[in-house]
This record gives sequence, C-alpha cells and structure tokens, in this order.
Amino acid sequence: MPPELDIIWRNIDYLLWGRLAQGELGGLLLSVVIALASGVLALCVGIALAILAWFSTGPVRRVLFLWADLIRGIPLIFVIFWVYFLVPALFGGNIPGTVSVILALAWFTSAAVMYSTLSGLQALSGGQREAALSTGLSEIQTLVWVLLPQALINLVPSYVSLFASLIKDTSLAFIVNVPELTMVASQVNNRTQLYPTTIFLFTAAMYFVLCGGLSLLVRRLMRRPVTASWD
Amino acid sequence: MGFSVDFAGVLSGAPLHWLLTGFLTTIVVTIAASLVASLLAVILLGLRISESRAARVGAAGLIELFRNTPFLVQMMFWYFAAFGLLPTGIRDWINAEHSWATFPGNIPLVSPEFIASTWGLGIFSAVFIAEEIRAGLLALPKGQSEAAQSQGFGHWASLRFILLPQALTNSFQSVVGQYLNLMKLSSLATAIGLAEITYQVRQIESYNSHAIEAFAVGTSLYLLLGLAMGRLMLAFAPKRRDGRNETGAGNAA
Amino acid sequence: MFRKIPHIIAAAFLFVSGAAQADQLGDIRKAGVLRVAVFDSNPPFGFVDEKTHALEGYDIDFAKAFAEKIGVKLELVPTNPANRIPVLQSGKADLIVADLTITPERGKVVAFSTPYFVTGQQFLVTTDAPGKLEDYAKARIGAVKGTTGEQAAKARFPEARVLSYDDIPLAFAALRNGSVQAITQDAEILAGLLAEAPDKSKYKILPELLSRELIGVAIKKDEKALLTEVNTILSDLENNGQAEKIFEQWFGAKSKAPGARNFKIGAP
Repeated sequence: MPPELDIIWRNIDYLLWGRLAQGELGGLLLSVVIALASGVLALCVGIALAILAWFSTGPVRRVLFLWADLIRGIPLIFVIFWVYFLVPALFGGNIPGTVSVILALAWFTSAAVMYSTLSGLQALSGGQREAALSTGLSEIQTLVWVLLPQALINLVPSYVSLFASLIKDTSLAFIVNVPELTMVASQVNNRTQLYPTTIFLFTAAMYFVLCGGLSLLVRRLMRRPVTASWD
Repeated sequence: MGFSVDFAGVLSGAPLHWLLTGFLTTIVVTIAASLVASLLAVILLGLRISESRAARVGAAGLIELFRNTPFLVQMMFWYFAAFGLLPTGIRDWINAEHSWATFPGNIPLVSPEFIASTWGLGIFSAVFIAEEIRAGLLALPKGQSEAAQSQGFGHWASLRFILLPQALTNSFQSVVGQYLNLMKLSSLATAIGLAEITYQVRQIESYNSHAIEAFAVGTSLYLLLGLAMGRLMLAFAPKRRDGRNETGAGNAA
Repeated sequence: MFRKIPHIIAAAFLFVSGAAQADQLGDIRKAGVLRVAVFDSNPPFGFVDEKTHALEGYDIDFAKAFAEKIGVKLELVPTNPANRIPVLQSGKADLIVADLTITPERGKVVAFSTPYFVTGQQFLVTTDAPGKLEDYAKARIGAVKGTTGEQAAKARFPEARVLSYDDIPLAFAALRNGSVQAITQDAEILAGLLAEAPDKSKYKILPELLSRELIGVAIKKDEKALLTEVNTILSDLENNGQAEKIFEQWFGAKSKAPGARNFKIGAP
C-alpha cells in the first residue's frame, strides 16, 4: 500500500470514532453527534422563536429580530469563543468543550431556523388563516393546527440544508480542541507530518459524503412540489 | 483577582495598533476575495447554464464539491497542501518582499497567507453566489424565456437582457448575504496565519490575557463592518418594479 | 439594551471573583477530580500516542503525579498554546501543565509554581539555510500563537515578519511548503518535532538560543492552598527522584529528543 493511503488506513478507527473504546467519542462520529444535538436544539428553539415572532408586535418583535441579526452578524468562531470561555465565567460552572460547541452551534443556527420558519409561515396564503379563524379556531389553534403543519412540511428542504451547513460548521470545534473530525485529522497530520494533502482530502471527502448525501435528499424532496423548472 | 474589565489593555499601545491593522487586513482581504468571488461566480454561472452539457455537468460537480465541504478544511488544504505543490520558483517569488504590493499598515498582498485566503474565500463564496443567482433564474416563470426566444433573442442574449436582470433582482438579498458571509468567514483565515481581526484578538489575549475585552472589541468590529457593508450594498439594490420594498436585506446575512 | 451589557459583564466578573475566594484545593478534593490543561500536539510535552490514542508526554506525567499525590482522579483538558490561559481563567481546568513559560505579563493574570523545566527558544530551518540567528533578521518566521517565541522573535527581529499558527506542527507544515524560512519554539519541542519528522535530514536546529525560559505550572491567582500544594508536590518529586525519572524518559539519552538536565526543581 502506498504510504499516502497507509496513513489513512492505520488511523482509520481514530478518524472515524476517536477513542470510543475508552469511552471518549471522537472523529466523524462526534461531528455527527454534535450536528444532531445542535440541530435538534436549534430546530426547537428556532420554531419557538418564530411562533413568538408571529404573535408579537412592536418591541418584542424588534428585540427578536435584533437578537437574530446580532448572532448572525458575528463570525461563528466568535460565537464559539464566547460560549466556550465566557459562559463558564458567567455561570461559574464548567461545561465540557463538546457541550459548549453544541450550544454555540445551536444558538447560531436557531436564528436561521427562526427566519426560515417565519418566511415559511408568511408564504402560506392569507386565505388559510382566515378560513381557519372563521371556523371558530383561535389564533393560537390556527397556527398550531392549521398553519404550522403545512409550513413545516414545506420547510423540510430548507431545514435539511441548514443541517448540512451545521455538519460543515462542526469543523470549527477544531478551534477549541474538541476532537471532532477536523481536530483528529489535524492531530494525525501533526504526528505523521508528511501527507497533509491526503489527510485533508480524506477529511473533505468525509464531509462531502455526508453533506452531498443530504443535498441529494433535498433535491429529491424539492422535486415533489410542482414548480417551473428552467433547466 | 486580576480579572476585571479593563479596555485600556486593548485600546492602547501595541494592542490598539494590532487591532487597527487587523481591521484593515479584514477589509482588504474581504474586498480582494469579493472581486475574485464575483469573477468566478460569473464564470461558474456561465458554465452552469450554458448549452453544453459537459460544461453544465462539470460546473455542477465543482459547485457540489465546494458547497459540501467545510470552508476551514478547504482553507487549510489550499495553504498547507496546495501551496507546497507550486514550483519552487513561484513559491520563492511569493515569499520575497514586495514593497509595491504592501498595503499601508504593513499588510503584504503577495504572501502565501493572503493569496490562499483570497483564493479560498473567493472560490467558496463564488459557488454560493452562482447558485443564488441560478435559483433566481429558476424562479422566473417559464413564459419569460419563451417570450424572449420568440422575440428572436438567442440563448445568451435572452439571458443578458431579459432573464438575468430579473434574476438578480430576485436574488439580490441572498447575494448580499453571501458577500456578508464572506467577510465573516475571513475570520477563519486566522488558522493559516493571516493577521486579520481574529488573529489580532487572539494575539492580544496571549500578550496580556485581556481575552474578554479583546473578544468584545473584535465582535463589535465585525458587527460594525457587517452593518456598513450591508448598507453600502443596499445602495446598489435594484429597484423592484412590483413595488415590494427591499428593506431588511441586512437580515439576509 | 446595549447600555446594560457592561453591567451584566461587570456582574459576571463579580460573580467570578466571588467564586475565586473559595478554596480550590478543597473543591478539587471534594469533586475527586483534578482537571489539568495539557497539549495534544506538542511531543514530547503532550501528544496523542499513535497506538493507544491516549495523551502522553513530560507534562502528562507531571499531571498524573499531581493527581496521584492530591489523591484524586485526573481529567486531562487538551488545549493549544493560544487557548491555555483562557482555559484556566474560564474554570475549565484547575492547573495548566503545558510548557508554559513564566513571564511577568502572564504573572499578572495567573500564579506560577516553582519552575519544573528550563528551556530556551531556538530556530528550526532547512539544512541548506544560513546557520546564524542574525541571518533571519528580515525573514518570514513561523511561530505559535500565544507562545513566548512569538513575542521573542518580534522583539529580537523587528524587521522580520512573524507569522503565528495554532500549533507547532502547523508552523512546521508552513516551513515544509516554503511559506516561512524558519520556525521558533522551545528547544525540546523543536527537537521532539524533528525526531518525529520522517524527512528529518532536510532540517536542522540552530544551536544559538533566542531566549532562556523557565517553565512553571499555572493556577488561578489567590489560590494559596493549591499553589502551596503544587509546590510541595514538585519538591517531593525532585527529592524522591521521580522528577528526574520523568525527565530521563522524555529527554534522557535513550529518548527521541535527548538533552541534559541542567536544573533542579526548587533550586535556582
């Protein structure tokens, strides 16, 4: 086996799941776990915020948007630094690096989820809401039982692509030494030194398989509704 | 307890100087990478919607490749792997001092880290910009292109005069968002030694450990830059004929 | 809303400083865990072993000894040079045992133990490159973010362009692909780096020292009990010969980065 491939082969277990045998999750598996955990969190928080924004007017709504724009105006690396170094300082306790990264990614992504969900709700025709209200449903019931279910189904593709971004964003955990894929790949590269090209390409390929697979899925989902196709 | 808020440790002397050059570097690399991104986006879009199937498939493949891998990994690849594959002569030339290419504030424009950041940011953003504009094209009613063709416009002429202007109007907010994103992503160039804002913030942190103050100042600088960029780009916003206003494009970040 | 932010931050600091009055050594004993910030990519101080994937090295052995003597479990917090002090300040670790040079600037924010290692900054260059430090006065020099080498190189050669990377192997990668002409770090780190390099014949370490450095364990300020405990353990390790044994393992004649032990812990 050429040394370039051998380097991957000899470290494949470490790259894929880190020190799992010793009870410490790492590598690709940790990247996926971080993405899933922060994805679920971001989805719940984002939808909740969208509902809040749907009903609120004036100052509350403005604060919500200000909050979302603020978080999206800062580079993600800064969000991770703030959560990693400052949340422990604020609350005194100690949260593990992995959890800080999950919180930072969830915080960052929930703003995007809020925006998509809100625009998904707004995209529904006004008639829907009026029809539901006229049957005697309250505003909250209308949203929960009539509007939200439709919007959420329409939004599945955009949620999936947000999730794909989330997978890519887990690579930033590298900055705070959380042993996800980019970090362990870098450790292997640091030790073996000679084959950065192979190791970076392998790392990129792992992300590509995950995110590319998801984007294929999105395309399949998108194909269902009838839209004017141009190419 | 030596842990108190003290902005003097960040906003005076060497740290202030570092922050200013970092701020300048972020602006310069953002402008340079935006130009590269715009150029590459035009080329990619041209290939993506050309009449040649090979060009379309090739461009789509490239786009998928860059879209589906993390920017950090791409950047490290360009700097630590690809740069080493260049011929020695070119590498030596890039490494030499170029006084003509040194931006005020001692920011070298011909250096491995600046070139790798500009190229890496440029190509990554180009892919997203091209796709946003294509999405704008796809959203146009099919009648538009049929009408144009029936008027005697060819493939490219109908694109240039009828379809692209509308597509750009449709996708303007998202495209602005991509340029803003490029500016924010430049923070990751710290990993390859580009002395931009994030790099300087961390340098201050290790110099006198004023981490919190330095992070706060860095965060505000990015917010400020994003706000200014958003405003500036909105000034170029195309007027919509359907009367919907364009405010809130800053939200597209 | 923004006007309130300084108050919130100030309140947070009050809280932190309030918490700092507590007895950290007592807290460690109560929790039964000592959390130590160490390197994961800097052989021979701290690195991930290829076979076991566990952290190993000179600093790791000291960390183990601290936990054992205090009588608690050890939890290693892997970090890099740039992040190590914030990791301590934010309470993610109780000690930094990560080749940290004692400097007056750092002394303002953390407390240092007696030195447990003595080293100096050197240059690693390609074999065919000039052999004197002064030859690099205008060169592109690779350093590691948050190290004394970064600042020492800048102070010594103001006209050089010092580029900092997150960790020494990345700086070496930059030297290898020609982005910088020299890299600087503590002598033992460079020796360890070179020892592991598959292409070591292409590089050399310049003998001249850029600076001389004392390495200490860092803890939060005003934690007298913990500091005393750390110093006591260090002098015990010196007296019972364990410190020398650890040195022998990582820097002795049979090690990959041999060096002479010309210091004793607790003796200037």
